[in-house]
Amino acid sequence: MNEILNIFLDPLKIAGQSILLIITYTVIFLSIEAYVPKFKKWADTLFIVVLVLTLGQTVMDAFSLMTQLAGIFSNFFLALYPIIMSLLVILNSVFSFIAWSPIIFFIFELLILLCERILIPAVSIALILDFCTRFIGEMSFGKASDLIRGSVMTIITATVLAIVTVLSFTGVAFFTIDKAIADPVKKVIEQTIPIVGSLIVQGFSIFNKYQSTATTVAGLSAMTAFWVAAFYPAGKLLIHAMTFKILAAIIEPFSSSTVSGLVDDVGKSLLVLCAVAFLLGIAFVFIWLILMVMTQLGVGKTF
Amino acid sequence: MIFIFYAVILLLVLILIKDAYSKLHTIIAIVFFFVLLHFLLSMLVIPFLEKLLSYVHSVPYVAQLVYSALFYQVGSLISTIFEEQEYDSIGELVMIAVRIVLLTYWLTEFATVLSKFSSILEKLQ
Repeated sequence: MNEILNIFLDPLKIAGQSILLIITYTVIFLSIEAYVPKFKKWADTLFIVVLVLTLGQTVMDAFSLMTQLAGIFSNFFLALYPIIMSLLVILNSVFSFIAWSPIIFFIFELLILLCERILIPAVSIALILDFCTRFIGEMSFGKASDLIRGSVMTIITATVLAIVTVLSFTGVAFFTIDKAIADPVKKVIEQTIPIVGSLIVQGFSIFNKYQSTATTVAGLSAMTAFWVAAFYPAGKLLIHAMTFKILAAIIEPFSSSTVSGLVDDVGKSLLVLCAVAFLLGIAFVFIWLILMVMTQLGVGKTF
Repeated sequence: MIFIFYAVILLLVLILIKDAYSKLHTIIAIVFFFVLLHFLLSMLVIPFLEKLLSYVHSVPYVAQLVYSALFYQVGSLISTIFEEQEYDSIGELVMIAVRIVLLTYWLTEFATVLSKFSSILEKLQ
């Protein structure tokens, strides 16, 4: 039980730790500037260096988490396709019913490929460009990194829209659920979390269609476990990203615009990375839900 | 406060020496500078820094930051000594040495992060 709690507390701990760390550094740098005014030019640069040295670990962890996640998911999907396909062949009575499956698998495979080969490298390149912009000073790559982040977000939104479209187009929406309860919650989430909020809401509305059916098969606790497993990385990245955003807000009045701008940019990049993780989470849950629905159809239950 | 008294007394002695025996004045002024620098460091700066560091001992890199600021300040003080004797170029050399030492130290600290980052980039390819 303790370990499970730790899984949830660790990102929050890191967030609190880095906020305290940055406040201490701001105080130290302010006092250094007060005692050694000549050192100011160096202090500004050293502030960035120290930020990279202390908070860099968090960013690295985020990126390595994402690469691991993409690897695990691609292996997982590859392992699961034969099972699903053989299920399709065995249950040929329901084959026509789920004739859309190949398209879905194609989209998921494309998604993994996209994340692994394009999205994650693109976000890391944006991060490097931001760092160069702030560190070199005369040269600015700000437009380029904004462009990269913007296009990554566009790709993600387009993919989510494509999944939604394909699902509703092929008539998967046969599980209806009452949306009246979920709507206010969705609005709140959409407005409070900056970039990824609407994406999360979009994801929720997709799952609403499946949730009730799948729950009867797998049981509530198992479903909760799937949800947590799928969205834990995204949640962790979201906490990291929000930490950086908060840090930028805290240090902005006390330090040069370079430092707070860099921290803010890192926060933005991590938010985009969080969106990528969320996309993978959607794919993960979908595969499980499809498997469950097919098992259910095979057993012969009716909806 | 004691340090200010020391400085004023040494100033008076310097003026006395300048009037009485002006040939040795510059050498004694430099000696006095180092005496005062020693007093300043041992009486005020080092105790202050130790007190500051004791509050934030768990935060990494604070000691290095504070001491590199101190190092820079001492370097620039010594370079002003050279400039006072009108050896501006030697003072500049001192500053270059200080900068190089600071850069070398922070670059070695930074190198580990850079190598980690490049290893992540390798994983992505």
